[in-house]
Amino acid sequence: MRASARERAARAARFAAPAPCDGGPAALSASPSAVKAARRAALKRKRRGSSDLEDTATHYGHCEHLEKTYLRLTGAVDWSKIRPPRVLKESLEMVKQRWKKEKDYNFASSQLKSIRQDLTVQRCAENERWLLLCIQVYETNARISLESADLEEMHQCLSVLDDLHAHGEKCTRDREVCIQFRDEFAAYRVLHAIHAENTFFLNTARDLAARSRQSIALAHAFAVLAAVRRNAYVRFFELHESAPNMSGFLMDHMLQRVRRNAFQALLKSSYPELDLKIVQEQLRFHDGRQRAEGDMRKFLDRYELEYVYIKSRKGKRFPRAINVQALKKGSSSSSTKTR
Amino acid sequence: MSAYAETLAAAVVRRDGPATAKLLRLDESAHPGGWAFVQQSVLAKMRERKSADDFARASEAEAQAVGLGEFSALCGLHLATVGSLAAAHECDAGPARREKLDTAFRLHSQAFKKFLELFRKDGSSWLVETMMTLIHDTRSLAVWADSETSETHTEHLRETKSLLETCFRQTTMGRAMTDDAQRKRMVGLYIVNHQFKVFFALKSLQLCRNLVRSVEMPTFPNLEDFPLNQQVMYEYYRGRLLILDDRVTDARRALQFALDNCPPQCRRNRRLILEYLVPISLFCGRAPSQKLLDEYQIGYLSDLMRHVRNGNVRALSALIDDQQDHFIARGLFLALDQLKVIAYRNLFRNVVALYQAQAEERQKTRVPLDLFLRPFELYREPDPLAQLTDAGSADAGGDAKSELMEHVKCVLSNLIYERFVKGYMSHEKEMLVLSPKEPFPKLSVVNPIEG
Repeated sequence: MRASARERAARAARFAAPAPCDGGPAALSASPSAVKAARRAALKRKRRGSSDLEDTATHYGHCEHLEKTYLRLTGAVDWSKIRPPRVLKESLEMVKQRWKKEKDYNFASSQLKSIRQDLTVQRCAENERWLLLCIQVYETNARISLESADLEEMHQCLSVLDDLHAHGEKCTRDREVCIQFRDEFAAYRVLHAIHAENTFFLNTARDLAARSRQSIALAHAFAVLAAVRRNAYVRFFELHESAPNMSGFLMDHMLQRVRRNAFQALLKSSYPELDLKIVQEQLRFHDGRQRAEGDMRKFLDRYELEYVYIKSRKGKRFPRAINVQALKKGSSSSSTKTR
Repeated sequence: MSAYAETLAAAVVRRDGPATAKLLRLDESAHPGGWAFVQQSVLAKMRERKSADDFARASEAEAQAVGLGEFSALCGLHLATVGSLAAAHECDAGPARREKLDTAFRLHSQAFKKFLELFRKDGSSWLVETMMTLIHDTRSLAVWADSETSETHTEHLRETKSLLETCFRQTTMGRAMTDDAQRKRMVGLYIVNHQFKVFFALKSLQLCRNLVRSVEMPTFPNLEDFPLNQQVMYEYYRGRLLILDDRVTDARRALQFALDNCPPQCRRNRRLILEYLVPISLFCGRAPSQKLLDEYQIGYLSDLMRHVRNGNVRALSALIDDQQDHFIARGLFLALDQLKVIAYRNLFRNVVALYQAQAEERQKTRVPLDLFLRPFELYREPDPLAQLTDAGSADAGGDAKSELMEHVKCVLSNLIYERFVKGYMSHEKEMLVLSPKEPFPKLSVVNPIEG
């Protein structure tokens, strides 16, 4: 199983020349014992038949491209295409600038994914030196995905961030900077769980609940939780208006659900009619004066309702209120609970 | 040591299940003379060897000599485990003890694996008691070993999880209709209960759900056929699972069964059940007597009940906040939020009662919403955000009042929607019109007890 002399020389050569990236662990220096150790590791790898990804020594790539489209990794790693952390830092900056200017989500998403891939392959998350970079990449990705309503991608990033922030808590360098936005993203996790109705997560998030006493973002998220559960729509909309950071974006996704439940409550508790003005105010529809078009109209069209009309000066009919009395006489299925 | 091996050999030859089980237990006195003595002598013997593994091998050889046959390895590993445990007891908490516990656990799980081989080869059911003993001991050992290593360490528990899964598989093997197969299957619930303990410790909801599913499969024996104590344990865990899944009425039923069938002497267990049962029973209007609460020393629950009854949502929130950790650890966090709704219902009911006491007959069912403003302001849930953001509500009086009214209307409309209140609101006249009969139906009617 001994590798041919040529192969061994090729591997040794990889470590002999200093890589273009700065510093790096001892394995990259040209010291003979390090070369021997790397060779042994490479031999072990070959015997096991494993890919470079399971290498025990940390490798850095040496690609210098700032841009790189995302491609799923299959098989062994091509180090000439992997960018070292130093480059990735600049790449992240590039993505941020482009996003500010162009808001091209496809581009940003692909770039960020390949930055993440390069970070994973080089195991940067395990290295305190690059932990902050990893965190910044995932935070940026989460924010951009959230802004672009890609909740799945955002959720993925949030899960990883959870871990990374936990590492950040314990690390000795840059600790403050690493966990700077920890609570903000934890709040997003809570809000996402509310949206996805992940009751298990919400029921057992012990440390999050404890931290909510000191953090506005988390306290806000838990207040939203209570409001949504109890259908306290007035409170919900208050919280929506005062949402910190990007929490409002997540709450946008709950609007539909909250409005529907709120509407049921209003319908059930008003008699003999429910003025549309109230519906508009309470459910925060920003329609024009006519109340005949716009979001509220679309919303109400989903239900089978009868209306009480008024005549305008021009003689046209406009609905003024919902005829609840007629509804109750008719089918009773409209008042089923939706939770 | 050979005396021990001989006793074990005799039991094995006789296929004496209970006796074998007793001999392979980790914390009972399997010997006359006391367990401490046993521990010391085993430990002394172990120290004569280089390591615990060495000792295991040596004991195995001795056991072979005595004619224990296939069980020799098991015997050797068991003795080594006992020795390691004794050594662990002697150390203070710290890396030394951790190491000994690690060794003990490793040896014990090796023993367990050997046992499972023997069990499978044997095919009959005389080893079931031993299996139960080993399960219990492995799990306890795993819990101890994990807790010594660190708070979040779960390696040992995970190992236990796979062992238990193998156990479960083994009990379902064999031809269905034989007596032996039946006996083997009857260990099933015991294993399931221990798996519950492990999965709860591992905080895995999905695994717990899978457990329930496998119990409810037709191939699993009927629950009623199992000993009552196992049924109680099962329902207790199933109830806890249902709480986590936000299925409160089903949880209540399971936990009520557990409580009803748990004998009064098992105080600790009854207390555990009550800690879950009481909060969720409050939704159905069922409250335990003060006497019961005192007896089981769950005084904080009586405060909870009092605030709910009085409609004092402010105090209720403070209490829940205070004990937050405790409630979250039990998965009651979301369920308790619902209690606030009940509290609001009571608050409004009390206001209405006062009003109706001095209102004219004609006006009794028409309650001005204004009446609710002040009580609501006093007893409503405090806003943690307001404290954090120092939101000084220096609004003009009028604004604050209309804001308050909005909230009152919102709470009321939900109470009506959820059928806690029978009536309707007139927004223009700012009035609540109540049904003349039972405007606040009994909670047991709104949240019926039978699902």
